[in-house]
Amino acid sequence: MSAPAAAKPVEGSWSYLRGKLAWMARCWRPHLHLVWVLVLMTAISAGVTLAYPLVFGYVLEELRSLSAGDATPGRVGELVWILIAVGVARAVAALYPAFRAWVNVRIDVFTRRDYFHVVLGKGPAFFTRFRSGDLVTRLTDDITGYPKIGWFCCSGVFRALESGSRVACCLGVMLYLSPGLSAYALIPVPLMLACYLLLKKHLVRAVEEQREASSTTSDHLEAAFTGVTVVQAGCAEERLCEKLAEQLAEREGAEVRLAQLWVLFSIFFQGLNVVGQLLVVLVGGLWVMDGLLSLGDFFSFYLYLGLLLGPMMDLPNLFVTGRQAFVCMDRLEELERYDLRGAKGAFEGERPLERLEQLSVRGLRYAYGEQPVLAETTLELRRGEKLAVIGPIGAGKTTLVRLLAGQLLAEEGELAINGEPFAALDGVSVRERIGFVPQDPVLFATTVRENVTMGREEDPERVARALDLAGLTEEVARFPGGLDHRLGLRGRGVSGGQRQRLTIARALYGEPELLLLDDVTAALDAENEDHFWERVLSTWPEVTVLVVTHRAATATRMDRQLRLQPVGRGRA
Amino acid sequence: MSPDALAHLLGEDDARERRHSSRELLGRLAPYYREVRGKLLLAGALLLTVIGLGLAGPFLLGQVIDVATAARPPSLPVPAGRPGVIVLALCFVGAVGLSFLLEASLGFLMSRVGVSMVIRLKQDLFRKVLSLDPDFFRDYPPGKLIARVESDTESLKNLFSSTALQLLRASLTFGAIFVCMLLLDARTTLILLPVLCLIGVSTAFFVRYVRSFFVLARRYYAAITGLITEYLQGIEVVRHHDYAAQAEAQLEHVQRARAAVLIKADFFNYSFWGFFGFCEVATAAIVIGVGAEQVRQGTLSVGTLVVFLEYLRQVFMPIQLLSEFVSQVQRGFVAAGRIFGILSLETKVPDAPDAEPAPPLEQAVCFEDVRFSYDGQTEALRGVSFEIPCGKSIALVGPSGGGKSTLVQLLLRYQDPSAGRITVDGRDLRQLQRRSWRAQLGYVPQEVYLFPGTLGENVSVFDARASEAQLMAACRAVEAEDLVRSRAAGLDTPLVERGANLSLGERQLVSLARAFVTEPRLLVLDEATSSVDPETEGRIQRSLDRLLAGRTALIVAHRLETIRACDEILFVDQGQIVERGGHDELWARGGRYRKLAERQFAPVGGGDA
Repeated sequence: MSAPAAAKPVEGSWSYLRGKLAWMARCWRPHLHLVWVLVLMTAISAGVTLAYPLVFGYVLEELRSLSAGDATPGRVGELVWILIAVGVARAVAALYPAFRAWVNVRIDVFTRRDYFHVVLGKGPAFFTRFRSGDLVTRLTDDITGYPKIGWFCCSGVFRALESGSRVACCLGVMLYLSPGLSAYALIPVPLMLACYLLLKKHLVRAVEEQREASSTTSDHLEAAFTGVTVVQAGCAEERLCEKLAEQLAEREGAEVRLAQLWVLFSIFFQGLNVVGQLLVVLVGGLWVMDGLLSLGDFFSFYLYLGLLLGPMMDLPNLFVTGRQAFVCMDRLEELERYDLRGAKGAFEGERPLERLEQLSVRGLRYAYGEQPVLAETTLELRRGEKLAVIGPIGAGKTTLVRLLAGQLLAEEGELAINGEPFAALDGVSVRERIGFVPQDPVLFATTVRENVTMGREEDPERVARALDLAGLTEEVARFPGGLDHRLGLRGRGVSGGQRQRLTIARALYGEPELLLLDDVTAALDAENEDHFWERVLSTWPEVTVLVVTHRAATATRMDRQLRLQPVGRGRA
Repeated sequence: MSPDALAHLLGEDDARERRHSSRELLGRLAPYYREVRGKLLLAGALLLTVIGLGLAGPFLLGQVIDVATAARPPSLPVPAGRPGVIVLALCFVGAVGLSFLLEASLGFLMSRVGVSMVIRLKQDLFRKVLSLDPDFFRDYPPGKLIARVESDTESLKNLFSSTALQLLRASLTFGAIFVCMLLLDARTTLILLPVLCLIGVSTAFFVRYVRSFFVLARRYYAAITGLITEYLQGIEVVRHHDYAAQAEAQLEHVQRARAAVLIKADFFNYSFWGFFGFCEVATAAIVIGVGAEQVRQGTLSVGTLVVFLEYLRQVFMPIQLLSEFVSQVQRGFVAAGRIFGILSLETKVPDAPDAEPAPPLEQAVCFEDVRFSYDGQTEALRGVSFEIPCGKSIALVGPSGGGKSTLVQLLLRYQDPSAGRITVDGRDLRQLQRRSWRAQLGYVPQEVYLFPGTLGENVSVFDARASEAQLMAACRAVEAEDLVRSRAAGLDTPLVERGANLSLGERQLVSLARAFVTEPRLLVLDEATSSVDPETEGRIQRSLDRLLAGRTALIVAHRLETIRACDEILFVDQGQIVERGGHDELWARGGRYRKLAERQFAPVGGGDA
């Protein structure tokens, strides 16, 4: 299921970098036509940036001639118009970042869509390994924002390209204007490199420290907010605030260190750049006096030098942000590689199921990691039989139901329908014959109708019957919009009891041959539950039922009871 | 997906929070700034010096040009020719070096200011959240709250430190350069004035306009996160119904809507930037056009013109910076809106100004004709009266939705009655301080929750003052002593997330033990509905029997054995007490209670009921 760990290249190695570049290339595939636009715009943007000081230099030179009485005012007027043209070009080129941002968003949308698809296609083993919170972070915050995947794949790369080309062009023009002065201007560059290497190590360490501190805070917040009832009941608010204050005091140190390192980093860079500028002003000024350099060239040179700073700071930034983005890519790749078996789950065969006659389980074993939950479990269920599964929590009742629904993969033992092993059967034909209601009610942010039909062909009569059996007809009629009432995220808009009954209606809508109910009738009060069973059993006397319950009355209503013990040994 | 459906996904968010205008937000932030005003004053002084030194740069440059070109005598007393250039260059070096030193100090200072203000804000937010009512937490799941306390405050950090500094610097620089330009060449500066005004007005318009896009994009992002969470948490249902394609389609719609908004926001943002780029060059062109004539006439030196142009460039820099920071400021304000949205929330049951600390409960708690409605229309309680005398235990039973939990909520004072009153030894509960009253209660909620931490921390709920002996006594009281002793580390045994390394029964015992660390005057027990194995159930029952003997208690009971041990049973349905009495009495009466008991507590395979 998971890919062999040995194949993973070491972070920072060439093969690692190649892997990441390949990942990015794949990510770029749907947007390849935009690459040329981006490259072109990079060139235009760099060109426009470069043209400005050059034109300015000429203007200045003309002004000097003017003051010396060598030029006509008409020539200056022409230059002014050229300057305005450059201004217009600059305004247009400024849209380049907007275009980059648009591509960022495209990559963001496509990557999330693709990986959401990958994740939804994963099988049970995958969801045992990754918790939903972790998956959500990987599909949202790892992709969106600075300097995450969406930003890095386009803006990160093309900003660096733009900066690189600006640096190269600026240097080229500077060399053309005055090779000697360029040599002076470049004196601080080795120093800049050394400063970057020196500070980088400290920065990386500070970033790690800060991350650790912030994850400690998050853990504390999660514990406090999740257990807020206990906190308030135990009047523990103050104590938790004190604990947070202690943690934050430690974090403050780490945060300040990090922020100050950034300040140092940027000041050093700017400082060294200014040293270059000073050398240029000093030496260049003297050369102008000696007639070795024209005033216009000198001023253009000075402006070009100023243009170098931003891009030069961008270039090392590519590595810093790249590192962060690569970690996010790793996390997405991990999802892709893990559990290649896919969402078919237990039913991965091709044989369609025509009619469910018998369900049998022999020597079933299942463990969550090291913790065995079911061992040697055996049961047999014939068409129309009703079985209650009872026993303490931790005995494996829910696990059994999930295994029978094909939502978990058995490690050992035989699970068969009509004598055919699960693995040989076609998933779609099996699942449409099973009405499976998990313990926690799952509703989606769509209409009541869609929550019941779940994309199956809609039949108003069946919808009405399913709602009636679940005791929801009147309540749904009272919703604003009735069946078209939209639920919010997390099932907002319906009460707790209604939530569970909606999921029951969903299972009944498919007129299943096997009903797997995991302790869900608790949402019905005793009278409603009576009503529910009477109606279900009179409507479909042939339905096979396996119900996990803690309610004695429910258990006694079934034909047989299977008591599971924590060791997992039980026989029907 | 219809526009309606999209709007529905966004519309429900944070409806309870009050919206703040930017001015209000600044007002709310002011106290945080006030706390660090010393540091801010120092930062202001440093900033002014840095700006001054920044202005000296172009001036010196102009002097260098004038000296070098010998066009006209420099205004500074420096020698002519080469030595003059060297002296000016040294002045320039000095100014720049000092400016960097000050800038570094300023950066250090402000990063400290930003971090410490954010930390204060995090603490305030955390304290506020913990003080809010239970219904708040239904709308705000932990993930969302963590995002508020962590990410939103972090977005504010820049607003507090670097962004604030840049903004201040930008405005001051703008003003200072404008003055310099006026001094240098009043006529040209006044010609530029309308252009600068236009820029100012468009900035104000733009900031307001683009903000709405960023707010909307953020809400779409929240909806995307919500949808992904929902589908991943319900993956089994998605798989069972082959619903992945529909889930993906829904996500795609919201993603597209967000992308459309973001593209608009970015387009406006960068167009604004482009507009400024153009304005900068255009004004330079105006200056050159006007200045060229003066240069020709000899009334303006080339050096002065260059200085003027350099100042002009610097005037635009602050405005460009502003537009660069605009998205950061937007994000900051959006985050601030969300933070103060929560900080402005108040509990529905604040302590009255004259509320007094609750004296220890001596006689009885009485519900006197208590009525209550959650929505102001349907009554959840319709005139409930009963008494919990000291030393007696009262059981609440009945169908779900009947009003049992509401009664507990009122007793804990998460809500106040709409009519009628609850008295403690004859005094209205509303006249007592809420926390002091709760401190007397031992409340065991229905949902068992264990914190990541040690067993001891879980029993004491992080009360470092509780001694080991106290904690062990509480464990002993609920027969959980062997649970502690069987673990090598005892009370220091670490519990993993949600106490997954304890059995459910053990978790229930820990939850029960919590109530006994402080010897409560009144035990309020919302019994867990999920049953445990008979052995653990027996153990919990024995503990309860012992604990209830002679203790004042109100119990929402789900086990027949618990109910039997209580002095009085109240059958609550549709917001009223429909039957009351002892178990035998109610059983004999053959009414609603008996019907419920027969159904719910019937024996399973030779059980013990």
